[in-house]
Amino acid sequence: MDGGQENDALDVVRLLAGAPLAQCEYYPTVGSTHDVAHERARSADVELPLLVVADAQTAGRGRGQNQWWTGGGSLAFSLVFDPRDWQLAEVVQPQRSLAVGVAIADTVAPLTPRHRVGLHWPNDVFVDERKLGGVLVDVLAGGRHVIGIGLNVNNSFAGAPPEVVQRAISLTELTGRKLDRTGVLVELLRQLQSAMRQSAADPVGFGARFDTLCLQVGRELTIETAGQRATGVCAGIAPDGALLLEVAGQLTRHYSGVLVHDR
Amino acid sequence: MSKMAGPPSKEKEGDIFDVKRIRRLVELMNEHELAEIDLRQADQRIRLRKGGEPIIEVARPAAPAAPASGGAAPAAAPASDANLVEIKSPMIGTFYASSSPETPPFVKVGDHIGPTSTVCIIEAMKVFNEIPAEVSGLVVQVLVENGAPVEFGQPLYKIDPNK
Repeated sequence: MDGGQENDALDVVRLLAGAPLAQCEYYPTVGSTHDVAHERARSADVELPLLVVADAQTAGRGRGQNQWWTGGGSLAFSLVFDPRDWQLAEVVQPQRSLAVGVAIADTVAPLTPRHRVGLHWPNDVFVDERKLGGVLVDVLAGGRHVIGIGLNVNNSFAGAPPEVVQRAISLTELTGRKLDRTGVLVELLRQLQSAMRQSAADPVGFGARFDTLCLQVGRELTIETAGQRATGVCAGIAPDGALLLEVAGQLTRHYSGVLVHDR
Repeated sequence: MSKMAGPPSKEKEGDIFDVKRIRRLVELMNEHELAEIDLRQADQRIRLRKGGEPIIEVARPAAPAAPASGGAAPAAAPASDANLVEIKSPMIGTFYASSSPETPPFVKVGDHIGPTSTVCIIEAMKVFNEIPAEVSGLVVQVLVENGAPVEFGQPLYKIDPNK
């Protein structure tokens, strides 16, 4: 924790005391927290839940070939947990992916009361048409989950490539103040555990929140799945996590694929 | 004779057995290491299977341990469908045979797998789920192409648990 960053440094002791974690690995710089987390998740001898967090990533991962832009002051971390640690069913529940987005939105919304925080399907967190956070979820064959989250907290996009500046925003830019990153991370991890539990206990009731948070209703979206594209008007998100598109007067449900167009 | 992929009409029923079409299908089987292709459209059907086994599916009692045929390609070994078990998709999503486009598939025909072996990844709502085999045996057939959409319960692999 060097002097130049004392107000923004992550406090691992506070993290372990406040968040539902068994272990935390902190790196000033790492290739990708997700890669480290994957390695740990494949080891039998690891105490979970484990948080792998870094102040800077040199090869932060986004979906597929995408890279996550990690400027100084953002939060980039990956959480490894076994659903049984949180008394969750072992069966694969893809809507957990959306629950992660809900947890981020619930963490951020009280900090930005004048802005509408919501989701772009399935779990990107947006504010005012700009991306605030992204999520990657991998479920290993043994059931362990690796959840990677990038959240723009105290970073600024001044100096970032123009396409990033137009599409991204941070909490400090939204609030005009510097935030306590440790506090944000502790709250986010608590919200994550709570969202997972609620999603398991009341899938339909909790699932209704996906639609409430959906920011794309009424917009024309194109989703690409297995090389096939479908374009329609977004009619929200179903409680099971499906994207609802109205295509030629028919309501269609989409569980997989990438949104390639949004207007 | 046209090779356009339009719906075949009954009048042109002979087209389905066009040698070039069958040759192309065989090429596809080799290219993708498929042990079987089964295409149906209306009441027409082309079913190709490697290994000279009878096409008609008849439930048979498990064959006594047959001596290995020796030197045969692994793909050419299905004993009988009755002895095989299917690994099915536990969810609706997109099937990925490998962890990234640059890496080889998790399993291929002829591989021996155990219950904890990862056989594929199925992506649904941006969750990448490694799918465990949950059976042991020999991979006899890969039923889905990389990047294809899959339904809940759709068979993905055929496994011979006795090998």
